[in-house]
Amino acid sequence: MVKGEAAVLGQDAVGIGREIEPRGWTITGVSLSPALRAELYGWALLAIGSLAMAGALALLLVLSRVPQTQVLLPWSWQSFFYTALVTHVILSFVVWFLAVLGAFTVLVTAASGGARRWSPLGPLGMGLSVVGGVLLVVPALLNIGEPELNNYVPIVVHPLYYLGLALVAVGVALAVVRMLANPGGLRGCVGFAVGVAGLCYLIALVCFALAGLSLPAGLDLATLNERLFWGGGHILQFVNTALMLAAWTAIAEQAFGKPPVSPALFRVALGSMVVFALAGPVFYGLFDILSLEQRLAFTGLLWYGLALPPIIVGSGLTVMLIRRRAEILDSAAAQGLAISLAVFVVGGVMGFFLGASDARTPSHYHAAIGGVNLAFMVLFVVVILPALARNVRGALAWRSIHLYGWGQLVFSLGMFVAGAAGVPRKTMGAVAQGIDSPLKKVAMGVYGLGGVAAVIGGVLFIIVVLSYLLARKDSAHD
Amino acid sequence: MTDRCLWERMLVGGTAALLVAAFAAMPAWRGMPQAAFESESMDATRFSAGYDAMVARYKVGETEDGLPIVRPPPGDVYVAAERWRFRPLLELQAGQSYRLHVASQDILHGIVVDGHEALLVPGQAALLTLTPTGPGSMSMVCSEYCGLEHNKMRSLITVLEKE
Ligand SMILES: [Cu+2]
Repeated sequence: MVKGEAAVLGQDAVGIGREIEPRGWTITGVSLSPALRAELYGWALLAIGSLAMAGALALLLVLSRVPQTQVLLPWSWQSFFYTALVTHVILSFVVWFLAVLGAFTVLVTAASGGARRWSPLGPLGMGLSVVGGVLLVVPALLNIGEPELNNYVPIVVHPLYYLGLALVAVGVALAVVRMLANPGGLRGCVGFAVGVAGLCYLIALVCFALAGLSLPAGLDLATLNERLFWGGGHILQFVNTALMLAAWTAIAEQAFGKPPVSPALFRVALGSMVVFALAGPVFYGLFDILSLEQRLAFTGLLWYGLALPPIIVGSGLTVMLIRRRAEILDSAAAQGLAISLAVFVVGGVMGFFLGASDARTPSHYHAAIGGVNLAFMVLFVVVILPALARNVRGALAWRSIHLYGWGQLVFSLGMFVAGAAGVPRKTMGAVAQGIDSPLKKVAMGVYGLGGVAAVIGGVLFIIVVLSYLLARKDSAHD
Repeated sequence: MTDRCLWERMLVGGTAALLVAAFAAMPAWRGMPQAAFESESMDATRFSAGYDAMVARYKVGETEDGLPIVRPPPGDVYVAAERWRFRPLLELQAGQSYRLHVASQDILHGIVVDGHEALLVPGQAALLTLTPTGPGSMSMVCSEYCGLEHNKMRSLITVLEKE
């Protein structure tokens, strides 16, 4: 869309999103210097490479469970299974999201304009993170180290893994600091949301450090890793949420030419996340690191601090999508936005009906994370690849997003119904787990079909984006 | 800025007020209900003695993996938490009152039973007065990550009709 249309859009009768941001405050269509483009390329490759590797590990996990293919693996499957599972989780839930944060910092820095400060931190941070991402995979491939499936940041207890994690963490921190040192780009809504994600990220690192300092010696490795990553892991969910809202806003600006809610409301909603996240480090002073209060305080922080911002921005998006519904059929970006919103909202609503130990809990997580993933997938197609001089042609990328989105929706709903009908958690897919009633059977079947569609969509997306990244950039674009 | 509608300003203001209220409510978490469990000073020897005596007197069977099934009378009941199970398997009576002593035998575990939660610090015991309502079952779940099979650390208390 042409920027000149902004004046027309500004006459919208209702207030939401009425203020139009001046040119240069938005990251869509921002032009990158060759140096910044190289940085963005590195982050994009780390993001998609993590997903690809996570997918490959998932395939190995499946093969390691099937007796006929177990023999093909060079290791005994029992020891490989958990190490590969940990690595799959860290790549698809931590590195993928943090690489998107890294990519966002480059776009926001590019929108800052003027002379840039602390520029060397950018490529340095990206480089460290890429090296760290590679190191994280080594223990799984060599089948070394002891796996721990602790919450949020699962661990393979091996020096290479911890080193990889530290390099990724420091690399992303450097990229965030460089962005904050060039604050011009933070004035727009997308930039503001990325700034919030960056600040929350630094707060999460402070939590990890405080936890590390206050943990007593001689703890069992399970307890040690769980408590080391518990608080910061919760704050990382603030980062993920802010990033999703940044992605939604960037896509909305691309599709409709304006942010989903007025900039003032947007700033209040997103700004509150930093205030809540700041309570995290305080908890380490208030509660014993190994106490129940410490654990519950962080859980409560998510309930209090992380509900309202997505509701506000999501409501604005819903209003926007309904009002501009005539344009949705012609705009692939708007459709992608709608699917991401739908999947995330379904996950959020499910969160209010959690049955403690049945399959409804994972259905909530799957839908919420699916919504975040979809936002980033659309972001890659409409913002990141074009900024890398790789315009997406053809419908394959969009088809993969639709397949993933609809599959994820069916998968989560089926799982939720199965849970409500009494299928227990963590045993989904297992034979003879009390799957007797017709409702349970149908729900399990639907859930399986949705899961297959989502997996195919996800794999297709990775292949398409990777092929664009590895191909030469459009010559016409320069 | 001047032509902003009134309702939009109210929306911003209302949201800000809500967020502030949510934030102000945070200290209330410190008093969150977990009062039902008390910590008690019971050393490992006394706990084991109580446990062994209970199993010896009230054991009614054994599961396939050698877990004793125990049907204790109302009063003191001992539950040991260890990777990755609770022992013994309990059968309690509806409407009766039990003093549940729970202690970890190895590392940090947690327990959620009847909506109450406690952290099980090695070397300490947690005490809960439990009165099962109607017949059926109650779940006992570990709530603190304790290793790869943490998710399997759950047990069902069978609640029998009152005799
Ligand atoms: Cu446990």
